[in-house]
Amino acid sequence: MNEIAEGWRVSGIGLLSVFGVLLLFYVMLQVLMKLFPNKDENDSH
Amino acid sequence: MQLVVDYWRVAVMFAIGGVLIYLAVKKEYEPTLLLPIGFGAILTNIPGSSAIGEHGFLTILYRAGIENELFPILIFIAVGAMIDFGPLLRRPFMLFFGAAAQFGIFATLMAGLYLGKLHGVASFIPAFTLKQAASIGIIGAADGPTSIYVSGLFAPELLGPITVAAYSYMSLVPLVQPPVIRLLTTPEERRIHMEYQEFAVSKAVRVLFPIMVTLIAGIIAPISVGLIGSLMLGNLLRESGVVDRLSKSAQNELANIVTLFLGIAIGSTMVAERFLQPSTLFIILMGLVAFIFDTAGGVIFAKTLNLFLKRKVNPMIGAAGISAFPMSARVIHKMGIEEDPTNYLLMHAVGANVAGQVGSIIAGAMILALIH
Repeated sequence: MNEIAEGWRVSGIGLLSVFGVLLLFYVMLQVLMKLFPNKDENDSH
Repeated sequence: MQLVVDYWRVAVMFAIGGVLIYLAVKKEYEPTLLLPIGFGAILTNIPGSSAIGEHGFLTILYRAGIENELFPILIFIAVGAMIDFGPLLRRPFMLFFGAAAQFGIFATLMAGLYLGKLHGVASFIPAFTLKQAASIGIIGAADGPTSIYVSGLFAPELLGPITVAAYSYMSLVPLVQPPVIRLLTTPEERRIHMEYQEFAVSKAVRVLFPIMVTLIAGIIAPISVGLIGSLMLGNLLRESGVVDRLSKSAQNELANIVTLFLGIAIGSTMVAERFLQPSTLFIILMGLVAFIFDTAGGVIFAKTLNLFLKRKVNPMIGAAGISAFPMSARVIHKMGIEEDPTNYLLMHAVGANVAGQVGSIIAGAMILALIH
């Protein structure tokens, strides 16, 4: 495979992977926020 | 004749070192790094310098911390201890802006490869390999340690110009981003208000966030563990609340010492015959392209989202998805205030900005994982 074609592969999969991983972080955060809501309203750390 | 040429090159490198020191001292552009890099470049290029060579202290520092990637990893521990992920934890949605703004990395990677096609037409145009193009693209991560980490592995011969470009453009974010944002947005779009609700995040979430991020990223791309793991270790020190001394040491002593060593060791890579090449100019130029594409990618992504969202986001927030923290968030906030003095975008922008920190590391890791 020439470098340009390899570059397109890396860029396509790379950008999609970044979105994919951050999507997982998003879901994980939503679950964490549901599981551990803040009980102490004064804790605005 | 050769001697004259060599001394001419040495003089140019002294001038470049001097310019970096000037930018650090007079303009305060990333002084903690540009100053040691500038002085390191001067030390390295003094003919017969004992600072480099087999037993030179700069060579020892380079081998101890750059060649084996230790310094960028240690810097990430410090950065993690400094970052408050609170604005992101309150608005996890901002993570997507942190992903979109990595577009510039990949666009620049492709630009670098296509540039090589012109090498046959004009021989001074460098024919970058895929690994070199990827290392140059990483400048767009607006994340110095990630740039150093990736280029140290993929293109150590370009480490000097890539690092100088990365840190120079990070300090020039207030000049680079606003014109791109204005070009892509209307005044009405820049005036969009975004509601902000301050609420507390439980300690459990703050402690579990760095652990879970490390586990998820590590399982998907084990090569990311060094980068993301060190960032999250620093953040865990901060958020655990039980190792305050370690957290403060990471934020201060560790950050300061490693930044000094990192800067001066990077400066030692700026040897005249390697640095004074046409490729350096192209790297500097492509670094700017990367920042422009990153900014444009974030803004266009936000505008695209607005086609589907009931409550619109201010598209300028997308531009804060780059990793230059907190510079980019401040720029976006300032631009919002200029359009409408009642429009406070700072916390949204900070959320996108810290998401960009995570996004840039993931992008760097993906590039390392995908290119063999």
